[in-house]
Amino acid sequence: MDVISCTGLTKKFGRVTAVDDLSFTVAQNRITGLIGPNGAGKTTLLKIIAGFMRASSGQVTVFSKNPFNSLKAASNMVFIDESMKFPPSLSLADIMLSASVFYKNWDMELARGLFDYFSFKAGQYHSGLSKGMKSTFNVIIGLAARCALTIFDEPTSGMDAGVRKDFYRALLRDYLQKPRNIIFSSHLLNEVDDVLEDILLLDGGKKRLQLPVSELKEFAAALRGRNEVIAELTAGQEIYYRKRMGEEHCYAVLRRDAAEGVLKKSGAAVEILPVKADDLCVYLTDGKR
Amino acid sequence: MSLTEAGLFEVVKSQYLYKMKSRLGLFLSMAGMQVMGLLFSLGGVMSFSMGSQYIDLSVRYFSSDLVITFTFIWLFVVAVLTTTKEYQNIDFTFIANRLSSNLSNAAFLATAALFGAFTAMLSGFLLRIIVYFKSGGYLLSQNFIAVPADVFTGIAVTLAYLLLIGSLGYFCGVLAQRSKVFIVLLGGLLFGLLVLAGRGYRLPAIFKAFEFFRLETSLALLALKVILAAALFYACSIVLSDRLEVR
Amino acid sequence: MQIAEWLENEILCGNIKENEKMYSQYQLSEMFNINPATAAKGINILADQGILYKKRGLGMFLSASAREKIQYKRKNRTLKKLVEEAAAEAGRLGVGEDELIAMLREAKKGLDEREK
Repeated sequence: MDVISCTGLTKKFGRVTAVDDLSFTVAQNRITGLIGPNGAGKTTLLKIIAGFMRASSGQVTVFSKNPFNSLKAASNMVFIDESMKFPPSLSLADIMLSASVFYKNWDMELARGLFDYFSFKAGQYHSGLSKGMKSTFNVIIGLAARCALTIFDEPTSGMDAGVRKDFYRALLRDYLQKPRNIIFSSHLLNEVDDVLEDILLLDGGKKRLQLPVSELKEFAAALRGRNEVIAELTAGQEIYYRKRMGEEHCYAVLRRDAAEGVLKKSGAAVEILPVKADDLCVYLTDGKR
Repeated sequence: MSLTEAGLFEVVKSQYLYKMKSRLGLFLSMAGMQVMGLLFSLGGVMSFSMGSQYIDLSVRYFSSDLVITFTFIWLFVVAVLTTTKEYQNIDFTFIANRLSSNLSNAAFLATAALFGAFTAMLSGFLLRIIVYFKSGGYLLSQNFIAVPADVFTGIAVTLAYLLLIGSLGYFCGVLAQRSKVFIVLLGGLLFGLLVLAGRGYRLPAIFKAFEFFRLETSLALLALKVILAAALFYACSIVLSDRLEVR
Repeated sequence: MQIAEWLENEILCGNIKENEKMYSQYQLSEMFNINPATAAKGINILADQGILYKKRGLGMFLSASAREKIQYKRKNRTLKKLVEEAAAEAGRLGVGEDELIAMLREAKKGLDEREK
């Protein structure tokens, strides 16, 4: 059974189309990365999935139900982002206690462990935390809630590199113990690609790619050679990215199978080079503009 | 991971308890308002004096009406505040849908009304005690010793009005959240009424609606009227906010 | 695939013996902080090459000829490629055949000494 399923999902804000005719499904118990440049529609999509926003047209189901106003979807979902609001009168310890009342699968041991590990104090207030500490506290809530659908919208903003690594490790460890559906949005892939299983690449509200990370790493290759040779060889192929190298040489990124086919024809006149997954994501989105 | 099933009642209960726990500060502000009302009441609500060569007579009436009025204002403000984006986002941090959010708000406002009614009535006793010790003259004690039945009626009537005001404030807040036009409209209406009333005009017939409650002499009927009206306001709020986008 | 390579090294060093149980995808996931699906891919690469075999319900085990298979593969692919690259670089630098062989001997000797 698919956990999330979207067909022709569109969301407009006035004249601006944030999510544009998007169709995809997410299978059970995976960590999916939602990747795309700023303004790609990641947050809007996640808020529709979370049931906070309504779609302008198209369909979305979460656990086979429309998430908007669904208590079933809401009670199995936790949405973590940097603008999470907590009552200003409650201390961090009180907030965790309250969260445990709401979430049936809440794991206080895990929450306390992470709380101490990241050296929070029970009497601190959320409003008194720095940006990075806020993010860290929010992800503790997200992990300890142990919801069947856990959504992290750019959860690491403001965190130190070390804390981010610790968070990824905690996330993976807890996922291994309690496999569940995790969606993780980020505008950059490089740091999170080890953690992810699948990638959904968005650009301008549209789906650019959806595939396992391991396939993304093999998805494209680059050819390097003389301008005219590359131009001739790649005629009719979709070029994701092209860069001039000096006067006579250039560098072109295309699908790996296409690149390998081209290489057979050309012999030694061009070189084939691997393309890193995060570079490819940038080429597939920003690079074309 | 297996899915959990949460019933509406359970979620509303969790939200209600969360609100009670996190909004204790609001009750402090209520106490503050009531103390202020009490201080204003200490001078007496009405006084007159007369004197002749041998006698100097001055009479002052004391009443805790002002405390009750301040409690009304407090609850109205709290009801409007409850509908703001800030409070709503706090609701949707944890499990909620629009219905559960509205219902738990209604339950919270009802509790606030109950607290308000009790403390406002009790402040009447406080006022009596203060006046008793402070006044140097004779205390002509009409109602000085309260009859339990009267105290109960007082609390019940205050509670009824507070419930009504809470639901009305909440409805106004939801309208304002729905569209900023309503803020202007509601503000204009209130201001216009004040001006009209100030100039001694008779209020338009529609505001006779208040008479519907004010002239009711049976407590049971008043309770029924209030409950129906509050239910109507909350129902309208629920319908209006059912498709609202959050966070 | 880095995981597959790391596992091969473990086998070559003798840290896992023939017919012993292989690390599970979950153990690898935890050791390397990678998604278990990615770890499973690494294991599957070795299984496809016959280095590992599956016991139903028990997991992956090292096949009897695992070491030879890895040695054979590495010799014929990795080592050969490295040597070819070394030869090509030597050609570009004008390093002669004897000198290249001498350099290899030197490197080998250095390694052996360090191991003692």
